[in-house]
Amino acid sequence: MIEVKDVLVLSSILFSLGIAGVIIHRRNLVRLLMCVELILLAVNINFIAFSNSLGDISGQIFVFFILTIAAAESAVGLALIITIYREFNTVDLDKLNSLRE
Amino acid sequence: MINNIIFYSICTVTVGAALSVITAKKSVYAIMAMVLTFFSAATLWVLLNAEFLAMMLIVVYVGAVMVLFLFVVMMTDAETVQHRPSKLLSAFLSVPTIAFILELIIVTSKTDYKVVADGAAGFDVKAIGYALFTEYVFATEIAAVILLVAIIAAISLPGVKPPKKIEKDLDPNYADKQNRLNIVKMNKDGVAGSNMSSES
Repeated sequence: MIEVKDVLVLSSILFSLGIAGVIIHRRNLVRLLMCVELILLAVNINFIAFSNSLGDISGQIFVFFILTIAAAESAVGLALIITIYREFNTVDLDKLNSLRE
Repeated sequence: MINNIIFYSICTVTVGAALSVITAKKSVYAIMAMVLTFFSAATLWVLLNAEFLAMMLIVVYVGAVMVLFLFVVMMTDAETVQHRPSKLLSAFLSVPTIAFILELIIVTSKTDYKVVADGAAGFDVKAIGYALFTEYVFATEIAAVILLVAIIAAISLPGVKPPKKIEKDLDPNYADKQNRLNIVKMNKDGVAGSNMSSES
């Protein structure tokens, strides 16, 4: 049988990789959003593991809602990225400094 | 036993794909690695008795969100953003990341988790649907409204045209019908009428 601990270790590795990705790609907006998706995936794996081991369906319902909200978030985020690209002709976060000037 | 072998191989694939998501040089390759991550995570969820959510992950994420990401990467200049993390930054970053992973592994393996069912009773779609529309019905309604808001935002945001950059008052070469052609009233003697136009 699959142990809860092993699944938690996998999800903690995914979470750390997502955090490291946010730091590495802090200039590229699209890559930043992808790393956030990675972190959300780690959270979902945790929920599924505990839902399986505790025999409670609430964990899966939570994952359902997290998936819904994450899909909405990435749709709005990508729409914002396209708007930013039209306005500034770049998605480089270091060049989006018009408030500073 | 066979479950364990499948589980560990899926874990390897997932971690490797997640690593290449954050280390890939090109954004398109990172998206492909992300698709592989989602597929292996869905396989893991099937092993953990969450078949419906595994299918939903594939349909919603791989089918819709990742395609959106591909579209945005190809439409914008995300590929050309110079991201060259220096060796120093990578060294400084890898140490706390590995330490963080190790600490999480140690903490999670030291903790004693209560195991009640251990996947003995699998869940079916009927149970999920029943819970969604009885106990969590208000959350479902709110999720529906949030999806509607997201649809409206995603449609209307990129449709907004940026303001015209040409400022015609400052542009010396700007010309249109009004200030290029002047129609002047003349009387019979060939003398211009009262509204003498200025040479423009």
